[in-house]
Amino acid sequence: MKKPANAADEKEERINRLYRKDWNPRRVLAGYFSVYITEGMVRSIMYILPIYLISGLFNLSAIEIGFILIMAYVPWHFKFLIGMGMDASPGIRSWRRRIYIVIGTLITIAGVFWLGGTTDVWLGILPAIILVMGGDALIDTGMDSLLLDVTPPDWHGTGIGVGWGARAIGYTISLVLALFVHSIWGWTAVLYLFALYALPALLAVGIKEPAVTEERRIAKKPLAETFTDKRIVGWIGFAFFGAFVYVLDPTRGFLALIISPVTGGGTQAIIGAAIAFGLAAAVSSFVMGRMLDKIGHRKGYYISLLGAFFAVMLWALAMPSSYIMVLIYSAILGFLGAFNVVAWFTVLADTIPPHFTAFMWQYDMGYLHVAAFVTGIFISMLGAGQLALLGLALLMLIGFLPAKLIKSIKASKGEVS
Amino acid sequence: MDRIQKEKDVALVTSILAYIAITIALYTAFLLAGIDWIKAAVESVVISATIITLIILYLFGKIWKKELKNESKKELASK
Repeated sequence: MKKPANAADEKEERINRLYRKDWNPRRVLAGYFSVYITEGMVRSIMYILPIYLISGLFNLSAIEIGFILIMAYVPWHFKFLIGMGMDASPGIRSWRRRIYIVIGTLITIAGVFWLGGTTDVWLGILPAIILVMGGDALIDTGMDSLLLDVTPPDWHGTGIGVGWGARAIGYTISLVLALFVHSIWGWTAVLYLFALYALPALLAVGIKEPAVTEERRIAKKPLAETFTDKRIVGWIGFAFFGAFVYVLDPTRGFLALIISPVTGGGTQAIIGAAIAFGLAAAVSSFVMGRMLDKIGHRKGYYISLLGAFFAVMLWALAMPSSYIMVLIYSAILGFLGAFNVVAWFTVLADTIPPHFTAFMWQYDMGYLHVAAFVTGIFISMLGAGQLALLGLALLMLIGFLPAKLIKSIKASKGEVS
Repeated sequence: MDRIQKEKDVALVTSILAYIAITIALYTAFLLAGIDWIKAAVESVVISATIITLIILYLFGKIWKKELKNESKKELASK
């Protein structure tokens, strides 16, 4: 077999191999869709849990509830370490990432049954919710790396768009169902619903995984090539500054805080805004994800950043005055915000080295959390009103700079298009 | 070989000290920003873990590069 002459030829050879052997768009996109439906539905528990904990069934202070919610997210913060373990582990027959998707599903279901059957806060609800989120973190890490293992860079926008759209559909369905089930059967039934939510992820086991060759195993050489390359600064800068709009995602809680003065803080009104946001985000992710592959990932990112800037400025300059306007504004923010986040994901996906897709992808995602946390502090300090949104919109524009600087390196999967 | 091992030890100690320093700095900054102490503690541990990973991989990456270079030299010599 002829050996590739240089890094560019090596990348081209690798991408051709993906098209020839591993890329099955229908099966991969359907699998990714089903996993992200699960993820959106399961993650919505973080929207519902605070409402459950302050419902009067428990006598908890705000700090205690805050502590439970922070601890629930801990497995998510260490997904990059889970990813590192995943990249170092061998496959069993043709199963590698799928093993974690199945184990994660079983852990999530076990956590949900524990959560639904307990009223003990510290020895029941707390460990149970950590288990639920831990299982979900395994599913997420397994599926993201599986997508990156088998998807050619030209399809990154479509693939990631399908996932992000499915996630938005997932939490929207879950919120609608939660409202309905709660009104008839109460909280226990709502919690047990989450066991069903974990099941669609299992459809991803139909995806054919590539063999674990040297190219797909974490090793000193690609790690050293990646992390001693000065261009890593551009990646990290982009990972941190590229998607500040994510702080307004309904699962982060700030959207509820911002619209409360208009809606009077009612749970149904807040959930209604999240539903409008989620539906628009789903449409945007599917349509604009495909569009990104057609117009080029970086160019698409620039357009998306301007769009997200416009959406946040709309809130900053003219707060909605009625509930209908809140829904319209939420839908605009959902559409343009999701476009920006999908474009950000897509540009990063092009740079991921195939040797450690699970680790590098989750490491980049770690900066999304750091960015959301820091911008969250910023919004809170400025009073979660128009001034904070104006500041956020201006901060978002910093994203242009690292987007201009980000470049693929020798170990990257492809080139940033 | 000994020199490389020494460099690894230095990188490890530097990483541990940097992790502690970054965690304390973030914790203080979060407290000053008005975050609850529990949330500030958990987030500073988590965020500094993300930052320190970059530092660890940079420090060890440089050492691994040297190691790999030495190995390939040895391989060439044995041929």
